[in-house]
Amino acid sequence: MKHLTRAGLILAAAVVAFVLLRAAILQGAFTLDEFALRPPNPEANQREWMSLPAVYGDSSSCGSADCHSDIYEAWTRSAHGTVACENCHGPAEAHVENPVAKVSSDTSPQLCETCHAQLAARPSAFPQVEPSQHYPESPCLSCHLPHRPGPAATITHAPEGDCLQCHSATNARPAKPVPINHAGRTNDQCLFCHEGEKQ
Amino acid sequence: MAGDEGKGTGLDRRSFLKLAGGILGSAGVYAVLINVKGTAVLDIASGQAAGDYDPNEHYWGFVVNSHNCIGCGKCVVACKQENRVPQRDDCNRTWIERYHLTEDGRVLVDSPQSGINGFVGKPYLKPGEPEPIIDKAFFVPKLCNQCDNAPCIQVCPVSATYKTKDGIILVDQERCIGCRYCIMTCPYGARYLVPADADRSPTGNTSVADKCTWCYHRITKGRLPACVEACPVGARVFGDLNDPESPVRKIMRETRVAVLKPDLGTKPKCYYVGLEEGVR
Repeated sequence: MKHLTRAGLILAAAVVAFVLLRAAILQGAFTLDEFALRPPNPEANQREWMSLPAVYGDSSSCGSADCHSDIYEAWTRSAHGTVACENCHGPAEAHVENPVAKVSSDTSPQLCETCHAQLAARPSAFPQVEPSQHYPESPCLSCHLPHRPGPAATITHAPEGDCLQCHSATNARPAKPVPINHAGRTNDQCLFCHEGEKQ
Repeated sequence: MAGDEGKGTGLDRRSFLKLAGGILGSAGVYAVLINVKGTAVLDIASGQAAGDYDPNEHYWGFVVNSHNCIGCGKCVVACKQENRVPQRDDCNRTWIERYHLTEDGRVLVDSPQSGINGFVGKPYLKPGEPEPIIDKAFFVPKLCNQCDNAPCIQVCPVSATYKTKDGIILVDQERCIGCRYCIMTCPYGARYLVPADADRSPTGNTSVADKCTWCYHRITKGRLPACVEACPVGARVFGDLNDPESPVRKIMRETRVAVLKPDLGTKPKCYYVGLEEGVR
């Protein structure tokens, strides 16, 4: 009996030592989870991937009536209508959720050039310029409106003298107002960009 | 002799073995219970995130129209931000390659910063390499092909990589041990290791393998992957292969498409329009 008791005590001591040692190695954990040795659970992990938050909104979120509907309308009809808002304004899901979170506006020539600089690999039909030869001294936005890009509008009516008398940003007459990047411009500058019938 | 010994202790060999077996058996049951409990807890915790999305109803596909790509890199920008991919040149879920095929048969490929800042000037040449006469040039966006027969799943020693019912290959980054086998085995270079000192990570885990999920958190909520949303020229198209009217199926009907490295038998679900032989 005595020798069996002793053997039993040694066995018990060994078991206790094993459990304690194991707990020390696993840093207090008694399950195998920490070693990722639990059985694979793809369904649970799949739901975790699904639950990640989005950072990019969608352009369609921008055009609702009490937000940016005016600029959205102009943009959808323009040649830039396929360029997502967030490509220039940065990720905006936070702004869509709460307008207090502001978005940025990248108006640097470098941003324009990522699409419009002349490259051999670009499809030839895509509008491209050689930045060093296309008015390198002026910012792109002095001529091009990002939400309504393309060449300056052609004058389609007979001259009536002072352009800005009708085409001011505030004039109530039914003439197209000048775009926002025309602030501070004078009559003698119109023909630098606009071609047409004006004498 | 043996019988005497048994009588002397009051515990014969049979009883001793029974007792020992009982103790070991209980310990085994205890271990199983712990593991089952661990898994069950995990299930409940993550189950809250599941919406009414049914993976069995969809089978996603992707079309890349290489003819349209202008190499602006907006897809790479969008992907990095949407998925919190580390802001390093060697960590990418998607990237753009630029190909120049020369008159003397060379294939010049470059992808500066993976195309995140767009491309400038002429193709990269090794020092002393003769100035090429370009026959043709084009861009090829790359991303995970979500292969039907994915080699990355086969090699994973801890079953961290798996395929969902809707055809997306995902990585359980809690399970991944960062051994990099999948990164080595992917014939498309679609995987990377989130560095231990990464500034950010898709799931908050570092030293784990990561790859494009076709924005699984977006597509399961009826939205498009961020790169598709960002592409200004329709070079990236996403849709349901189960739906004959989806944009992807429409393109596959109307034009000829090809996959990358079809000879490997990986059965990619990323279909390329305008694929050139020099593209790997």
